[in-house]
Amino acid sequence: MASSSSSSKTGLKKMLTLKSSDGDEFELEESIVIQCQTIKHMVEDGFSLIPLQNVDTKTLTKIIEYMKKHAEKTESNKEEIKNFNKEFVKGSFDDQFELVSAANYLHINGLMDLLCQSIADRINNKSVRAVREIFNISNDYTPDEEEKVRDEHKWAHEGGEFDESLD
Amino acid sequence: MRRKEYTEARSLNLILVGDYCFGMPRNGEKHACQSVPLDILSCLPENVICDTLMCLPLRDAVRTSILSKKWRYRWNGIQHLVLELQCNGQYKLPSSLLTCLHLRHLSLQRCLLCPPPELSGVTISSDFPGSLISHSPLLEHLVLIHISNMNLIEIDAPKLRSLVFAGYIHKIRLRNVPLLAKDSVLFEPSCVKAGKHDLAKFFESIPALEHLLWKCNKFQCLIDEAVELQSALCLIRSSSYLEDIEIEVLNDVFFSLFCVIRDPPFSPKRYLDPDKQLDPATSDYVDEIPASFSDAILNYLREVKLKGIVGTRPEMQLIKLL
Repeated sequence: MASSSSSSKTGLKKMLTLKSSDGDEFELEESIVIQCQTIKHMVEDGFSLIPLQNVDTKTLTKIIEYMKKHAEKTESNKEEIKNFNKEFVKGSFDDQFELVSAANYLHINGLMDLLCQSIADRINNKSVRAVREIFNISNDYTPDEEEKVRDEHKWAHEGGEFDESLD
Repeated sequence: MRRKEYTEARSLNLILVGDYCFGMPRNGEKHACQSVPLDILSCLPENVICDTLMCLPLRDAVRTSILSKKWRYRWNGIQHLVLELQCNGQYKLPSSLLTCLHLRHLSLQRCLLCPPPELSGVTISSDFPGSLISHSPLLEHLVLIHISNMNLIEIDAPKLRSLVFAGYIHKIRLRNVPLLAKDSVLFEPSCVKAGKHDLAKFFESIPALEHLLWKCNKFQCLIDEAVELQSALCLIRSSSYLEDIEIEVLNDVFFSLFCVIRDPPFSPKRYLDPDKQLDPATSDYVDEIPASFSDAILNYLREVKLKGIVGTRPEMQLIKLL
């Protein structure tokens, strides 16, 4: 499972090992991993084996994929990164929520922004009914209570059509 | 409500490494959360939800308040607010905006904040922006652009770092802005109808000013105002932190500017020249400039940008000087 294929040519580059909650180890260049603030701080304290007890192998693999791609970011490949990001956020809600929890825990700001925007895009301009359905949010207001809250912010609920679709 | 129990009962699994302490729900709990088919979104940490809400237009963020009880006040945590409404006065700006104590970024553009009484339902307090700002002690970035019918706004924002303002200068007073510095001020008075010393006062209240972009394309300068403007610019000059100034101006202001730049200690890195034509009527002014120019101008001026040169006499004069 360890992705150490590049270690032979990295020579003097400092390598770090990330260990997932499933016990799998991933060896990566420090320059890639320090995008993650949580790990960066640990590296600064001299750690080279980083146990991530809250990130499973599946999620960690995705996060490494993200960090590797974004470590390559230059002025000239902006479009490529953009397309990568677009593909990256495709996936089930469960996967996305796992990712966003992990990105939050690991403090990877770019990934957090990407995932939050992606979740927001699924809410944007949707009707309340659609949002409840998409995210399985159960409405615990009584009809009277709901009406009252709706009245508080009437301006937000009026005018314009809201999207009822569930994608 | 299993979900609620989960939240309340949630304990944190802390990893203690060196001096650092990281917290995240234990795996088991995460899976417990997943096993509840309802409301996966609500399992996310508050700050993630807050970040997500900030990615939404305000209207959509506010509409989340009726999703469920848990969501009622969540949007109040947003720290970044942009309002760009058309001036039709039909929306009531919610009073609950005043509860956004965490607001860090506020951008109000072309809002009609105080509709005239004859329009349907006066819904917005004319004191709205002022009280919003004073209720937002964390506010760092503020944009106020062409706010209609607004009363005097006194800005008391101890954390404010940047301000973009366009509109009537006499409508705004900076009371307590000790940190206003980086990227500081984009200042675009559409028309300055300032009373005497208003401009000077305005700049006097920005002690930490570092960067100033001053656009005043439609400046209608009367003589009095030109004098006042000059005194304001003198004051800017004495801002000891000012590193960078861009000024887009026409006619009289041009003249005033040179008077300022001439004197050290002010040393602008940048100076943006009029991007349109100079009013021929001001040529007299400009003709006088060479006489009052000293070498100091060129010593301190590090960068000059000339935009939209059309070859008027004043422009050629300037180029010659360079």
